Amino acid sequence: MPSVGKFYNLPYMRQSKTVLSVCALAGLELEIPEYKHFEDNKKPEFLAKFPIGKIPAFEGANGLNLSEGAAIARYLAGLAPNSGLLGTTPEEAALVDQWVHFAETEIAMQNDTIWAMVSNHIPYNKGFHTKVADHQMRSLTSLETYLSTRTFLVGERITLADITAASVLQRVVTVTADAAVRSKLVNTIRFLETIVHQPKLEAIFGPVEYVEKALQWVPPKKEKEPAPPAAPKEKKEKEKPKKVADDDDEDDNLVPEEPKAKNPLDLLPKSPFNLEDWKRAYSNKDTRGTDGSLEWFYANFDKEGFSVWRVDFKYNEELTLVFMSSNQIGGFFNRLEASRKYLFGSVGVLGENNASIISGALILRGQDAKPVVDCAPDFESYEYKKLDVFENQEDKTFFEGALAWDLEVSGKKWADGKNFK
Amino acid sequence: MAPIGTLWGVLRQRQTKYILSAAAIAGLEVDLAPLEVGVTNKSPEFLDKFALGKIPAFEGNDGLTLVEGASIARYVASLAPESGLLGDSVKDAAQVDQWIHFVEHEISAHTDLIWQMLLGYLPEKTYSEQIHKSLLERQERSLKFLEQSINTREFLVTDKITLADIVLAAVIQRAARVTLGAAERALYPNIFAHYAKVAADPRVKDIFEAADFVEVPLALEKAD
Repeated sequence: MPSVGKFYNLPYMRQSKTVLSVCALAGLELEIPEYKHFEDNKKPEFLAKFPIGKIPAFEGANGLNLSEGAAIARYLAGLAPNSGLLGTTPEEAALVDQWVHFAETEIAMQNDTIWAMVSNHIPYNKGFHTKVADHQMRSLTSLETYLSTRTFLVGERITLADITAASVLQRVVTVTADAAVRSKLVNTIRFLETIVHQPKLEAIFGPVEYVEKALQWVPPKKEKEPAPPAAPKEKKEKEKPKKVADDDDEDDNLVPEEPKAKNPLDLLPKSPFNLEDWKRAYSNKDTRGTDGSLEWFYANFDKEGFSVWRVDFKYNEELTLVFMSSNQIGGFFNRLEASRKYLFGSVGVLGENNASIISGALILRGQDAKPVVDCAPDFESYEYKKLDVFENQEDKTFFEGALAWDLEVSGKKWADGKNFK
Repeated sequence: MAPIGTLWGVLRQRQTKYILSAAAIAGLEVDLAPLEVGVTNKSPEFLDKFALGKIPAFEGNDGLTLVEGASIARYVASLAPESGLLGDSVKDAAQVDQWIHFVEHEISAHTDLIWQMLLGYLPEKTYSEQIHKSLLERQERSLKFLEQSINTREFLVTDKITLADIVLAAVIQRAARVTLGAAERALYPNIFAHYAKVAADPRVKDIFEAADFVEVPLALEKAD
């Protein structure tokens, strides 16, 4: 199936999850180009298509260029009327609209405001925080009552309204809807869990992180006041700076502050192996042969500071068309963006349509894969096996094949692949 | 023609303007229910149909109940496809959606929050000059962008008025009553030319009423 267009996004944004979920349920193929936020969206080519300069942004194969996540989602849902995503009558479509609008303006907006305040992206004000939280709570309570007798928001099957609401709620339970609040939103949480666990949507939504205590504001340290109990810092530190763009805004004022706790990977002893140099060598040289990048690798690699891994998708029996699996790798790589400084990957689809596997190699900082890859919500869908490419011939062959894109595993030949670099 | 339904809304609300303007251009009639704000919409009969008690709220003749102004307006527009309110193609409709979403989230949201802060709908001591300033800056950025986008076009999406134009005009009218004084409005001649064109359309003139713009942006001391 040809792709309906290109979707520029950051995968953890709720709008991205909504759009990707629509495509999954509507059976639409979407191309996800590589995208660097704050860089690509300032380039003239991007702004010529999307003058608003924000993401998500959609470049239709038919020439339509669209900004605003909700508008993109509705347009794509409309391309597949049989999916029922916009209901089946004008009245149902209106109700879907209504719930999308409600979720965005009466729940999400408040969530984003509170998050921006507790993260010091807009000035904090306790009264304002309270007012906005109360507003959100009234909306959530109303939703709770409505969901006490229903599985889905409109009609008897999943629509864009449910997807949007779930993507909003997934954020809410990481900011304001803490354990105490959730005890009053039992049906809402049940609804959230139902939607995010729909088989075709599970990989898109990823795990739901439930916050124990609602995020509180911590005054910046330089004021020399004893800080009140901090927001649950055990949340993935690497993820924090990225969530800034969640309000669909390329706003420079929201340039993420580095998390106060350093990434443990930055605290490792300095290594003579420079990952950026490696990426350049890989890009500029042939892989195999004299003066190839593999030769460079073996000459320069630091086994103490870095490690090499084999990565395999766990559910190869689910894979269908080769290009879709290739897109899946692309999606996985997008979700690893936060670890760009610590990771190189060369992963491919091996085999043919409906008889393929996803397999490849990673070079990463440190001796453990998990701290580098767990920024991707779906990292557990893959298996990781450390390789010894110096002493073990099998590992070496595998590694070289993955990098040279000629890997063969169990008779399956490399068909297509992606690099993370 | 018989009315398609009943609307509880106050004309001064931008959302009510969206709906009534859409109906007017679509050639559809909507009954405006008698409404005592704070009383009617808190009554059990109203809350039965519209649980959050907010307005505008719409009840169609077939029993459909809807809230969320933009959604009601789009539904009304969808009942009259030949009106061109949602454009003339699926692509047009998507762009109408896009502009409505942008205008509501990137302009109107800030005006509304500032209004709430100033008019004391917040708990005591919640006025924050820094937040006010921050919201004004965000709104300004969106307006600057919009000013350039309107430049070469008569209307936002097609050569006729669409729901996107109506929503923008209603939102801008509101902004010009709260955050944009005379000096600020002078920075956006294209936006206000667009506003003037929409508000002067004979079909919606009475709905938009008098401009009622402020001389200077509302500030704390002027409130109450």
